[in-house]
Amino acid sequence: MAVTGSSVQRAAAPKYPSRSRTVLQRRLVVGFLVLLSLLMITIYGREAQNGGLHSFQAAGATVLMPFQVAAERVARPFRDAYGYVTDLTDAKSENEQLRAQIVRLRQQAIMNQGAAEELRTLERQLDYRNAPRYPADYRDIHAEVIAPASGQFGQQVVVHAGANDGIRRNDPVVTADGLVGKVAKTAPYTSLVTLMTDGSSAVAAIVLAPQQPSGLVRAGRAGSGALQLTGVKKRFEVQRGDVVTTAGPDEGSLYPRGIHIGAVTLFSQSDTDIHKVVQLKPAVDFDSLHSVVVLVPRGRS
Amino acid sequence: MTQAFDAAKLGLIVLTAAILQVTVVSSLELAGGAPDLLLVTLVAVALLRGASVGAGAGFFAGLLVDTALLGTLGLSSFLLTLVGYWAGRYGETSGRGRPHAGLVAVGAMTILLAAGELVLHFVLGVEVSPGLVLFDALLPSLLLNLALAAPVAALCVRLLRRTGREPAVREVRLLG
Repeated sequence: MAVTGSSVQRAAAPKYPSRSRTVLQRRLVVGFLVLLSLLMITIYGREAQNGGLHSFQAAGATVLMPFQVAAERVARPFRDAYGYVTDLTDAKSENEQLRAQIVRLRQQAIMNQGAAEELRTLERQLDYRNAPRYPADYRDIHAEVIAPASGQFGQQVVVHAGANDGIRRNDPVVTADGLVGKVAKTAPYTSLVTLMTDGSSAVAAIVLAPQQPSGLVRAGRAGSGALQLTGVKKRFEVQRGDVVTTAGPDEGSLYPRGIHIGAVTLFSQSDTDIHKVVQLKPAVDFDSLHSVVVLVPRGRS
Repeated sequence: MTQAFDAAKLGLIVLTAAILQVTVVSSLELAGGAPDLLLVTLVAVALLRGASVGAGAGFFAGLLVDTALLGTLGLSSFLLTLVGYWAGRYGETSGRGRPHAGLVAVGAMTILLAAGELVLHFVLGVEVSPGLVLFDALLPSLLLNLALAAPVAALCVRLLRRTGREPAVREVRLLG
C-alpha cells in the first residue's frame, strides 16, 4: 500500500554548473587561471632558488612525496615483472658475453691494482696535491627514483633524497655502472636530477686511450639514448670500445675525475671539421633507473 | 555541502591521476610514446562538469605535476587549464550527446597538448626535438590515450555521479 503522507518538497533539479554561469563568468575564471599560470612561470623563472614560489614548490613536493613513494613501490613489482620477461630473451647471449668480459676484466684489475699502488707511492714522494677524488672524497647518498623520466620534454628524474640529506645543486649523480647526471634542483626531501641524455647536459670527459683526448660529452640525437663526445681533435686516435670517463675539476668540470660515462661506438671525421664526431653508448641504462647515488663532498657541512 | 563533497571527489580524482602519471604511467613507454592518464582523466572530468570546472581541475592538475616533478611552476597549469576549458566547452556545445565525444576530445587534446608543450618549451628556451614530439611519440601516445579513454571515462562517470540527480522515487515512500 502506498502512503504519500504529507507533501514532500521536491528538490530543485541540480543545474549543470557551467550552464548556470554566464559566459562572462566562465571567461573570467579561465582568464584568471591562465593569467595566474603565466605569472607563476614568469616569477618562477626570474626569482632566486630560495624565492617564494620555489619555497612553495619545495613544501608541496614534501607533501606529495609520500604519495609518490607509495605509488612507486606498489608499481615496482609489476614493472620488474615486465622487465624480467623482456630481459629474458637477451639473457643467454648476454651471459656468454659477460663471462668473457669477466676474464678480461680480472686481468685488467690486477694490472690496475699494481699501477694504482705505484701512483700512490709516486704522489707521496712528490707531495702531489690532488683535487677531490671519486669515490674516496665523496659521501654516497643512495636515493630511490620516485618519478622517472618521461622522455619527450627533458630527461629528468625525481629522487627520494634532498637538501635535508646534504644534497646541493650540481652534485654529481651516479650508479654502480657510471655517471647518471647532476642535481638540478633540491627540495627538503626530493631532488630533481638532470640526466646525461638531457639536451642541456654537458660534461668534460677524457677517452682512456694512449693520448687521452678530451672533449665534451653531450646528449646525442633526441630519443636515441646515445651520447656524443664533441671537441676531440682529429690528430688524436680513438678506437671503438674505448672507455670515456669524466675529466675532473682540472678541466673545469663539476664532476670528479674517473667516473665511467660510456664507451665509443662510432667515430667519424670530415675534411671540413677540425674535430672528430664520436658517438658513445652510455654506461648507465637510463630506461631502467630505479635508484641512484648522489655524491656529496665529504668536507661539506 | 554536496558541492564541497563533489569538489573533494574531483580533487581526489585529479590528485590520484597526477600521482600515478608522474610515478608510473609516464614510464610505460610503448613504441616511443607513453599514455597520459592525467590528460584523459582531465578531459573526462571537463566533459562531465563543464568548462569552468575543467579549467579549475586543469590548473590544479598542472600545479600538482609541476610540484611533484620540481618543474617550472605554472607551465603545466597553463596548458592543462586550456585543455580542461576547451574539453569542457566541447562537451557543452558541439560534443553534447554525441556518443564519441570522449574519444574526439581525448584525441584532439592529446595533439593540442603536445603542440602546446613544444611551443612553450621553445619560448622558454628549453631544447626539445619537434621530430620526436610530433612524429615519433605523438602517434603511439595518441593511440594509448584513446585506449585509456573509455575505461577512465566510465570510472569518472561512476565516481562523479551526482547524488542530487537520483530519480525522484525517493519522494514517494512505500510503507508496508
